[in-house]
Amino acid sequence: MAVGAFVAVAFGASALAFLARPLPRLGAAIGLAGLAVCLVLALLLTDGEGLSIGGERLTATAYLRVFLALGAAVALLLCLLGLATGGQHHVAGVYAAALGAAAAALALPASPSAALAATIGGVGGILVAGAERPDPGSVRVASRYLRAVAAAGALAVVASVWLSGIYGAIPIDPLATGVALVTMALALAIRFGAFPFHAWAARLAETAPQVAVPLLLAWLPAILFAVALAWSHQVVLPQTLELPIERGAIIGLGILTLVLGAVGSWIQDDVDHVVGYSVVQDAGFFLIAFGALDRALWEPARTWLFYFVLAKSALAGWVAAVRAIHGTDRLPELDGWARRSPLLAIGLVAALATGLGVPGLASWDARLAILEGATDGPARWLAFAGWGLGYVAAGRILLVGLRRQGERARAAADQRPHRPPPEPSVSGPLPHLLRLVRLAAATWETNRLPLATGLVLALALLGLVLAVAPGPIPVAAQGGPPLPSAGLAPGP
Amino acid sequence: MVLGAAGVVVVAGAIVCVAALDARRATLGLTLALLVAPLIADPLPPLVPLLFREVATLLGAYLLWILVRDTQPLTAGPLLGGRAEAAFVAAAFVVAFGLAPVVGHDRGPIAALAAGIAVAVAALDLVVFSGDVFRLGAGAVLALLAATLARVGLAGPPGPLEHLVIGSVLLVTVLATAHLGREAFAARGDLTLRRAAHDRG
Repeated sequence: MAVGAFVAVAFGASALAFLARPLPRLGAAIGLAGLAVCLVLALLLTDGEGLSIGGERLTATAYLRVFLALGAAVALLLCLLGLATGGQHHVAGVYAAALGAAAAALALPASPSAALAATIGGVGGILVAGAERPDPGSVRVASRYLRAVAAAGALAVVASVWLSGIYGAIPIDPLATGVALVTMALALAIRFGAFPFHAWAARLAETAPQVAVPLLLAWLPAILFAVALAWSHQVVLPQTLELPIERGAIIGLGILTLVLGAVGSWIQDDVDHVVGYSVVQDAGFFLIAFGALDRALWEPARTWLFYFVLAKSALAGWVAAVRAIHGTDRLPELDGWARRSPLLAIGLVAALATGLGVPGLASWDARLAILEGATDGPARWLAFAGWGLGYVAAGRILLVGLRRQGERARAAADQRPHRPPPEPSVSGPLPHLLRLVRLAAATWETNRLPLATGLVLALALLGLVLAVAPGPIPVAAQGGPPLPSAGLAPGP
Repeated sequence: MVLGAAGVVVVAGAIVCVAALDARRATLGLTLALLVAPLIADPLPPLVPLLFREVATLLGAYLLWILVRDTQPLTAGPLLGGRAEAAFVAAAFVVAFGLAPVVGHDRGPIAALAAGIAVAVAALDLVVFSGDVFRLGAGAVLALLAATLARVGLAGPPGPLEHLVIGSVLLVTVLATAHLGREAFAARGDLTLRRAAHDRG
């Protein structure tokens, strides 16, 4: 029942926030309240409890609980950051809808329903895919996003039923299985913006509100990946087919994405493009893990998914804060940004350590396990080279920040916290409460940028702390997906 | 026979949607396809999920109607004039209907698989060659509809929960189209996606 309650609250809050769009502050408040309730409900989920509707069952798992709890917490931080840096009021409601879609998709067994539920979240993302003030360019980019999400969703649905028959599973057929596997991989490649489908993802990182970028490029595709991985392990893996050509093609595309994404991230001069291409690069890990079709990679792939979304959320939050404080996202104009904003520099280092990995961190181990488990020979070295290039792109941003402060850094907005102007004193219990509310509002208004810096730091440290001490993540990642329903049983 | 007739109606709706220059006519075709699609199943869906899908379709159609009413009634139109696109979609249906028994034997209603393939051809045309937001959004809806029809053809009828999810995803896609259309109209006064000369720099 708790899964059902979570889905109902998430979609309900999202619908109310959408209806309140003419009153942006009310919409934001509804969205934030919905996310807070979602966080509590996610923490209350227990393994195995669920909701049955007409034979299909939504089942809570440890993985679902961790995913939803982290999703709600990160969404809250990002939405507050969005409000602090530029009044992005509509994002909270869309995050709530995405969490509802995630709950439905991950609580279902690997089936067309799960793929469709993941697509609901993706399509809903269109509400924040355009710029705050729409222009022809951002509408074009948003339309490309819709095209990619719909195509990926349709392919995922077809792939997920390809090997199922009305009277049970169809006989084992290498050709049919290979086609289904490649179709699902194609859906993932399109959805993540892997090469050669990267153009829309890179542009989206530039035009969408920064705090919505992790939702559109990381959280929502990650849901589809979790569904696709569960499908491959429930339906394809039991068939014990080698499928060398199909697997090789998918892993090859993953390695290519890893290398070219890193190069793209390296040569970009806009930090939002750097973030966009870093997401494209990390899509390579997902394709490699999916194409490996290896039971041993089930846990590393699902573990890496958590660090991927946490790192990209912190990275996008950093871009939003830098843009608000320094007034630009052009790297050549950001000389000395780290000297001017040392807390943001700490946040960036923490986000990069979580995302790219440092020996000893769980994210490093997961990435290493994926590459070592799925590749060998020259392919492995090429994949490692792609991974290594990611550090070069990140190092470039940090080096620019350590230079002598440029014009923009010197003119950057004040980031020190300030005391709000004093309010006239009042007496009585209710006026006192009113005064507290006013004080909180005045403190928020006076300290938007310091709060934004603090929120970025909180996001980045959340990821880093979980990478150092993974807590519930390994146990959650080990667990299997919900069992398949009778009509879509895996092959014999 | 009944399933085949339903399949023909769905494909006819998709043809109207892909070939029409007038967005109102295209909305009508899309609505027809969405309304009849859940009926290509043996057995028919239970009443509540079926009602949910039909109501979701009508609500989505109303949203598209509002978009068209408040923005522009003419789309960028089909690239090859409309008749060619219609012929492609119809041919896909006939060929798929003829070949499905050979390929798919007893996996689900042949009409659903054939309609799914024909609707996918229409969706491909709209998604790849669309010149405006309306046609792109209609293509996205048809792409997802085609996948759900193929799902019925390949694996039999969906359960009640899956009908709810299908209805929701189609409604959300229509909603996304309407939202994108509003943004396009606010940005440049029409729904077109092609770059204007002054946009190219």
